[in-house]
Amino acid sequence: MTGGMNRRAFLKLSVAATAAAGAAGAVIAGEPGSYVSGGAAPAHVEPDTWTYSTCGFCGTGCGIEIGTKDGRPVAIRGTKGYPVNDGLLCAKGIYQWKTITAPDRGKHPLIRKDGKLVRASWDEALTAMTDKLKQLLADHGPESIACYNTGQLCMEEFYTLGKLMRAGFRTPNLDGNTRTCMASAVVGHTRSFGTDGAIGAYADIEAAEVILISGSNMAECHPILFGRVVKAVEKGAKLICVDPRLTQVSRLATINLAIRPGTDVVLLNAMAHVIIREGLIDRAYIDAHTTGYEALEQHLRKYTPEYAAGICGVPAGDIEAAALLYGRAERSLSMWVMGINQSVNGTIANNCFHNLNLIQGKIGKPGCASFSITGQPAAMASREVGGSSTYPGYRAIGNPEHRAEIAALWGVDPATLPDKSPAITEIIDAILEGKIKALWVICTNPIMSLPDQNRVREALQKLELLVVQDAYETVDTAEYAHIFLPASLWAEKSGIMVNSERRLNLLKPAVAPPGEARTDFEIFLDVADRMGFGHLFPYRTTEECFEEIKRVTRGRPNDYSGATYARIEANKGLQWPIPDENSTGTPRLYADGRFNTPDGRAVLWAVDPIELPELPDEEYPFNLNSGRVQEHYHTGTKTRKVPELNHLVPTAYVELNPRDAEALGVQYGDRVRIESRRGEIEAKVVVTSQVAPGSCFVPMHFNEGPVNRLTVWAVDPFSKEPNYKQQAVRLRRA
Amino acid sequence: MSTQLGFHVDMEKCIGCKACEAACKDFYRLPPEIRWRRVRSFEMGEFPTALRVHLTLACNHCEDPACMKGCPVEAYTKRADGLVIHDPAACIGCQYCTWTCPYGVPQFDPEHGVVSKCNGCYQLVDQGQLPRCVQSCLTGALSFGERAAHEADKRQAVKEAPGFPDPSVTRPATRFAWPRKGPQPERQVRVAPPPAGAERAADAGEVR
Repeated sequence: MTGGMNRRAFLKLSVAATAAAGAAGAVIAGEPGSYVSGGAAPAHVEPDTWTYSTCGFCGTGCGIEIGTKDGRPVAIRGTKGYPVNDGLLCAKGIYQWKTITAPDRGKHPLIRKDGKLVRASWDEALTAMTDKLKQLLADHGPESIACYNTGQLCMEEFYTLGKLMRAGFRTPNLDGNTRTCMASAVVGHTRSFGTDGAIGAYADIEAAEVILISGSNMAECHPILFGRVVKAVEKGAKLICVDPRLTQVSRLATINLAIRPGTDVVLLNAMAHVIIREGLIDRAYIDAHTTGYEALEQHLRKYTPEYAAGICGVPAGDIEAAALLYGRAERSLSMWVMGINQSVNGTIANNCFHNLNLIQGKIGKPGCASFSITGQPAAMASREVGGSSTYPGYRAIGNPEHRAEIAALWGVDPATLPDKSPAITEIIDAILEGKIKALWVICTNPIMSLPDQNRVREALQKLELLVVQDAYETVDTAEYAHIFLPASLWAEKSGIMVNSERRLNLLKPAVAPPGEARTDFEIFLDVADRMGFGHLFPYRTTEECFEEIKRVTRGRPNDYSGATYARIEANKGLQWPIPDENSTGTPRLYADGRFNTPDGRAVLWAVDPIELPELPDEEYPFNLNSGRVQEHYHTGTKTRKVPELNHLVPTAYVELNPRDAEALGVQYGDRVRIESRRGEIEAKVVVTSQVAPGSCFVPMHFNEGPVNRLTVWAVDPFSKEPNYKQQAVRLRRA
Repeated sequence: MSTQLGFHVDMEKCIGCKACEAACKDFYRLPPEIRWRRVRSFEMGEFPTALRVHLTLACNHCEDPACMKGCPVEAYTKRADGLVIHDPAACIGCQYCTWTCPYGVPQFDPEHGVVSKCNGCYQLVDQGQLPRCVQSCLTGALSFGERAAHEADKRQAVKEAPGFPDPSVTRPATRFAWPRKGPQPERQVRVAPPPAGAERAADAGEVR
């Protein structure tokens, strides 16, 4: 813009069209709305409209405003005064607007013809889809059909999809990718407290004296929450970190326990052992509100710090010190994420955290919580309203009374409602066995995110019908799709998301979907109508749908009775339960010590660790840990479209300890081949002492080096959550 | 008394999240390669006590700016408040300043044929606001204000930082508080410069 213009003319233009042109020198310093651009266009763009919404990345649930100019997204800012993030955003959140305008947004339905996906009308695509589904229902019954969804739709979409699959198609085969991140937390909550539901509030971060962060690289994966932790630590809170890999959490920790991979249960048992031995328990709370204490105490006798030290690979004195620091504080908070959940020990490790806090009565009080953090923006909503492995209102699939309640609320025969809910790994195996013939994949990318990619590829290729419904037509899983349905992103719809602290957050549409793309809500209703299930859906808008959800969940733990879209917006989110229209929400569950078990008491679990599916051996000597980096999200379908983020971390890499790098004869930037018993990938070497000798770490975001081609096909026996964090690999120079 | 505005970086609090870098870059619509603010990472020690620390740097708004001296067309101005402003409209793209600045602050944008750099968000500052990067810092690691006030009020406010060139040459206004763990500023540290193109922590320089 400035290239062919003399300076004087340029300055005149700058003053006249300040916000648009923007590039200006010192001479007009102070000109409101004009900003230095770096010499030329593109310059700062000031939105003409800001729309209230919620961040669509992780489960933190930050309040955002989407800035548009002439109807196009141009910026995102944090909502000032929002109780979660108070105006702040992480790098991904700041650049999120670019995911809306990515060139590979699906704009039209596609149907595979002669091996290629070609443009089709909605009528053609949905007719082809529903004709095939009707034929499968007639020939093979509902169990031949499966649906695999996400944690990134809104509550109303999860509810509608759950009702469509279970009351419409009557298939049990409905699961979400929440299975791969939060299932162990769900089952852990249910076993300890009677129902699912994260119990704490983010405000506990500021209220705690001691914060235990375990299996969570919170600085990278939940930066807004970790920013609050850093500020709390600056004010004197003590931090305990448990992680086999060093992170910013470990750097700021008073005590860092860099345990051997997968030994969390032993460590947590040993911490509880010390707390009991030192009399740091709350005997009155235990007697009044829990069951199983005597058995737990007996069971924990062998878990001395010395015993745990031998298994966990950290000094007994450090375990003792961590337990004492945690136990002696009046207000202690535990937070954990995937390092705990994504393991065969996931569920029981969750129970160990709950044990640790229950025996001290550190539940339901400010600064005290046993707090599982979520990874997706609406994973909690899916869990609450029956989007995956439960019926709405945390009703259990296998509970006949719960099914009868739902049947009555939905006006269907209880005998028609599925009484089981297979996990996605079971669905994949059933596809390989030929039992499931159609799979509808919604807003998730299983080729990249499920373990043992080669097995998943084989399964997807066996399907008679694979429908992929996604915002991006280049999503890896579409490679095998027979039909692609273009869906809206979060910024293009209205609805409710629920964050880790049970806060209902509102989405309001800021922009129109591209081309013919539709909201998932509209697609579900259209499929329902075409299948002849339209009578199940008396609502046509998400707001009407929310009214039905409120009726279905009234009196349940996640009671939303007092919430409306307007009240959610006015209150900047509401934490459930919200029993009536005067309620401003409930920051903490179980403040009265009454739990959702039949006898109202929380359950203490005496558990021993489950053997890991695969340990390093002579043939495959390294432990492989998978995870995330702050610049990218999940399988990269969003963040790898953002050049500014992708520039920072552009490709697959493997972190290796300097000692191992030397032994392998590789340096930073070299390429190595990583092989497991399942497959092999290539990645760039990053030499770092953040990983232990004998361990390596590969992020999950990169389809040119997909770590899940290496990961092991093994799941937690209770939650069926895959074990992503511990497997054996070998490395050699590529 | 003359004023000198500048940044203060508390490396204890910095978690390397790059919100500052993204907020700057997004606000000014900078292309991916141009990083007015840049977060670098350093590692020291060995597992399990190794430390990774971060250093977020933009323009240091030097008291004796070398960029200004090297500029043949007077594209640089030092304001009364101490901020060093580069005027892209005056810039001829000769890139002398990219050589004279010891901190690599001015960056050449080949697409537009000019240099650009952090101007301290002077227009926001003139409206009583903080620079975008400071507004967006998640942990309070980054602050902005009078250098003298940083020296008086902060936990620590030294001129040196790991990997930071000798401050005596251009007298940068940026002040640092070092991480509480690891080497301290009064101790002699050996610093290796980060290799070109280094992005992630491990490929940046190391302080041992």
